[in-house]
Amino acid sequence: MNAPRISASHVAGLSTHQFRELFEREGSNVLRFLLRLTRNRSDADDLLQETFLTVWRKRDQFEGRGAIEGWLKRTAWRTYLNARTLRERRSRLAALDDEQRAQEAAEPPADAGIEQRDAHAFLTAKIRAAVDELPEPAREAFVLFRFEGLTCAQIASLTDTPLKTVETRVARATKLLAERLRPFRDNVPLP
Amino acid sequence: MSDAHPHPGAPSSRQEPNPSAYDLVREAQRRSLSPAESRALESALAADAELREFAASYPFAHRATQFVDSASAALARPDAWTRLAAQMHEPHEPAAPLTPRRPLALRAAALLLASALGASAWFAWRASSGDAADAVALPSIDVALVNAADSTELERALSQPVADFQRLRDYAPVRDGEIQWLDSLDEGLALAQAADRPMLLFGMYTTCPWCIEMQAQGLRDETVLALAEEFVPVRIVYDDLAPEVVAKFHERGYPLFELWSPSGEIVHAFPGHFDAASFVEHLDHVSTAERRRSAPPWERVRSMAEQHQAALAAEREGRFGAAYAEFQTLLREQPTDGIARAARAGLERIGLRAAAALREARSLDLDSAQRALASAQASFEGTPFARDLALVRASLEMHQSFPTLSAADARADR
Repeated sequence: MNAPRISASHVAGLSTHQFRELFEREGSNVLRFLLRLTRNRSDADDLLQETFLTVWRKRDQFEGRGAIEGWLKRTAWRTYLNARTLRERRSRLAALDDEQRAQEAAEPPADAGIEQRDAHAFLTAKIRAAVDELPEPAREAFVLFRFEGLTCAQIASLTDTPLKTVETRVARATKLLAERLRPFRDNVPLP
Repeated sequence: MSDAHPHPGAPSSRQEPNPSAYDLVREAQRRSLSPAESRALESALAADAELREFAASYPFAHRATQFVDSASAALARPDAWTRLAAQMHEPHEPAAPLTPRRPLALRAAALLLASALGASAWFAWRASSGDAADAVALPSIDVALVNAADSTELERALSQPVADFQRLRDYAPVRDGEIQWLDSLDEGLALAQAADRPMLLFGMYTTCPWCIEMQAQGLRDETVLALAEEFVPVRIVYDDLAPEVVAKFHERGYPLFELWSPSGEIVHAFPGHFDAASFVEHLDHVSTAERRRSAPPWERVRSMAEQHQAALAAEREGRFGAAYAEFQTLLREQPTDGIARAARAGLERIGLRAAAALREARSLDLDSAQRALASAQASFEGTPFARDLALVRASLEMHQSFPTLSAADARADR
């Protein structure tokens, strides 16, 4: 936490030691960023590696202005975007890895008594699926806005998108989400 | 991720002294806005309809997604650095491709429409004439009911509930991508018998998330909707039931799903929450397969219901001849059990009404009886009972007294 920040001027001459320090400080943050975007742990792990490798390989291209965190996040975003494009080219993104999702979703077994089922877990799984199934790029904008805590301007800058477009995407995702969850809204106390 | 150190081109909070109003809508969910922020948000809201719409739905979306950020506690794998270090000095090569996703398996719906409409049965109606003296033998009208000391039995028979298929005339179990649930077991069973299909019972509480979810998602699945056509769907909302009835349903589970035979036996029960694929398996359960295969198409069920209702309307208007002919036509067309029973009951009822008309006439003076019989004969024209009435009327005219009535041997076998 209190480790001395690697200022921009250090980066061009980043030593392996300093690079490791950067990874240990920022690795988990970048992983969470990628996890929110990919929704898939193993993809996020792979992209984390790729992101840091890119930073390492391009360490002498960094112009040395500003904090490296911003550069890191932009690199992570581009890495994610490339991977997404690649995957979309391969097979139309089915949004969900059904099998994995099914395991995670904590669906109540059909024969379980109602008292034993965990309504909270069920609802959470439903809501998570509703977020995960939002159409891109509205989902990405929403996830960055809601979970990554970025402002619309930060998202605009990160994703090279006009501010107004980001706002429209966030609003669209919110609207879709509210529609999708409407059946629960009036009848079930949400978590 | 920290944005404490701003630099051009990178996300940074310090770059925006004036946050977007969209950000303020979110911030209002996380903390109290400062007076300046509140004012800024208010004036932005006043000026922007899209923003107002967003501000109306965002708090709900924010609250609902409170616990779904699975990434919030994630940490890089312990071996992440080792993996990274191993690649740092390798020659650059493209990253390993992502795990390909398994495409959604689509289940093909196997729908067999049986064309089981065989040759129409020949409906024979036998009647033989009675010999009229001052005793008249009636071939068609139930003489026992006419001769009975009081009219209790006749009235009881006439007050039996009349099958009404009004709803079935334009009923379809699925419309606009939604199952059209009936809300009563009795009506469901009556329709199941009329449509010659099993009944699908869905029991739910309005506050049960699985029930709501099944209703909003699983029960709208395309394959489920296609299969639902083979059933008469009935939904019981437990909230609306009397406590002792709720208890009976509650112990069967919720969401409750049961397949009932048209005669009212539960042949397959599968309470619980299902994904579309396993729900389809239950719906397609073998216990009702035979029945579903042989069920007539809905269009035909509707047309039979239409015919029945036309007959019923004629009967209610006192056009018994027309009603009789309609019920008979319906019976000749090999209707489903439920419709056949209703049509036979209709024919039976018309006979009871003829018996009632005779009783009525007998209680009148001769002139009135003559007129009543003439009028009844006209109403029943086209039914075998008209002939009975004519026989009585002729005898009355000839003997100037009401004849004693007996049943002719060859009384029509209804």
